[in-house]
Amino acid sequence: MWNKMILLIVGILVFSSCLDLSSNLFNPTPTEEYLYDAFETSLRIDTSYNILPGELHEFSVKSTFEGVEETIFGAYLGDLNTMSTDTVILYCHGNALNMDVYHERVKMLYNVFGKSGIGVLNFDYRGFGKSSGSTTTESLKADTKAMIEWLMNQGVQEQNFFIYGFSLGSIPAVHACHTNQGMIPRKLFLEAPIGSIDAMAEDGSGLSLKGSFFADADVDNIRDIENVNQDLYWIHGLDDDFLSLQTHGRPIFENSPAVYKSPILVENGNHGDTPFILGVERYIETIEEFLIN
Amino acid sequence: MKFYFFVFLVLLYSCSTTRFVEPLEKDELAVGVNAGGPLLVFGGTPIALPLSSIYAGYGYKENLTIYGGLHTTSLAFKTLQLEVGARKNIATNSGIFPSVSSGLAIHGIMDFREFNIRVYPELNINPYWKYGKWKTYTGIQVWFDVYKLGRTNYGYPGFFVPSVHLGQSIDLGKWNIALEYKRLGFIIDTEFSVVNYITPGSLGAQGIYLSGHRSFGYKKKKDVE
Repeated sequence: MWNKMILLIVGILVFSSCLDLSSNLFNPTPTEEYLYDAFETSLRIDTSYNILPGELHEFSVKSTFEGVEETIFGAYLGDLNTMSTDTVILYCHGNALNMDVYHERVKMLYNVFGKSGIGVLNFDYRGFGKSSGSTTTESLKADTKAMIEWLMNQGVQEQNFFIYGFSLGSIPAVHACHTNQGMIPRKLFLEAPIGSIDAMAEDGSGLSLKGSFFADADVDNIRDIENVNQDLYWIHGLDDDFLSLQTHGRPIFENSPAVYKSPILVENGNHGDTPFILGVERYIETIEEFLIN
Repeated sequence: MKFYFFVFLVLLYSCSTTRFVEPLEKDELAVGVNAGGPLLVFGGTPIALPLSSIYAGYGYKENLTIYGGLHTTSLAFKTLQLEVGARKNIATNSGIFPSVSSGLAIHGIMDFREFNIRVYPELNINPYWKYGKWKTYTGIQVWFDVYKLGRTNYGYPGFFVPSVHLGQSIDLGKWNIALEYKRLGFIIDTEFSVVNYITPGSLGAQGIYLSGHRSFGYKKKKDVE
């Protein structure tokens, strides 16, 4: 009897270790070449915002995580010669495709203050776009750190350094604000952020299931934001049908100990279109107001 | 865009047919398998999640069946879900009124990552009609989520999650096969869920399940219903 019980327990443990869902968390799309303004998307802003020759600088850096070195690609919008005095925003993008998809959004940020004294860095995590390797929630943070180090090497000053996290990008953005990655961002922007894997599990089931029932990923921005004292800009669509405002964005916002918090709740905004629904000019205004406050 | 990852969030919820709608005979042992799951859009295609479980029941005494199940798909993803329960008839058919069985079960879930544990009690009531080899049944099943009691965060606030079901089974001697449709969590607004459920009115989810069990060790009494 005991032998059979032991055999059953061993069988369960062996069988239970064969599959993992964590790799399915990401939707990267590799590419051979970035298209930027030529990328076809339905979410297009006016062509007057298109990038002029000499304003975009594509580069790559090495990023090492758990002993594996990968090549990470970034695209800096701005003047490389004035980075030491410019306001610089590091843009941590979401989970779809690669940084081409986010180019329109990055252009909006680049047009803050009429492109005067501003730079925006967009980049692809490992596995996305031209960046090599495959992504995990922890490698997102390592690749973000590699980009912060590139900015430091270009002379960006900590007091002029800001970070923006959209959806999946909220994970490395929040992390960079409460850990020392070389430079600590002065302020934090969050767009439609992920609350936690637990919140996702509950959204999907209606039950208080734990995120660890599904994946190894330790993602809890609702918890981690308690350690982020930087000013917080939070934009979220009221109609976000993927990361709900009520279960993801609002708990983060309310748990934030920041003294200055700017909530931008957008009627009819869904997960992927909120800045566009708000309107380019109004979106830029809210960013400017937050930066100068 | 929905992450493929999150279609599996429903792995652990009501992912089977109703176990032994009609209680087993005394000393009857039955062992079966179950497959099916909620309907959702996966990669642009409507599918029923291929969830699976194995289960067994035993006629402990006249009109009392005890049963247990092991959810094999979730186990393959490092999460152990076991259920144990008991069922008995609480009414026998009379005229147009059906027989009714009721069951109590406990679902225990533990992952092998962080060893988090959840335990959910379940209550269900199932009217059923028998005609020859066939049995049609319906019913309601309620999971109680005690972890939500007194909680003030922003998730779905209810501490109970109800489902209704409609099923058809056929008795093939030693084998019993059942097909069941479920309307899962029909009071939960899933419009803002991370999963693209195929469901009317953005409420809950709906699922299709198929099960079959084989009976051992008893002499079947003549159907009287």
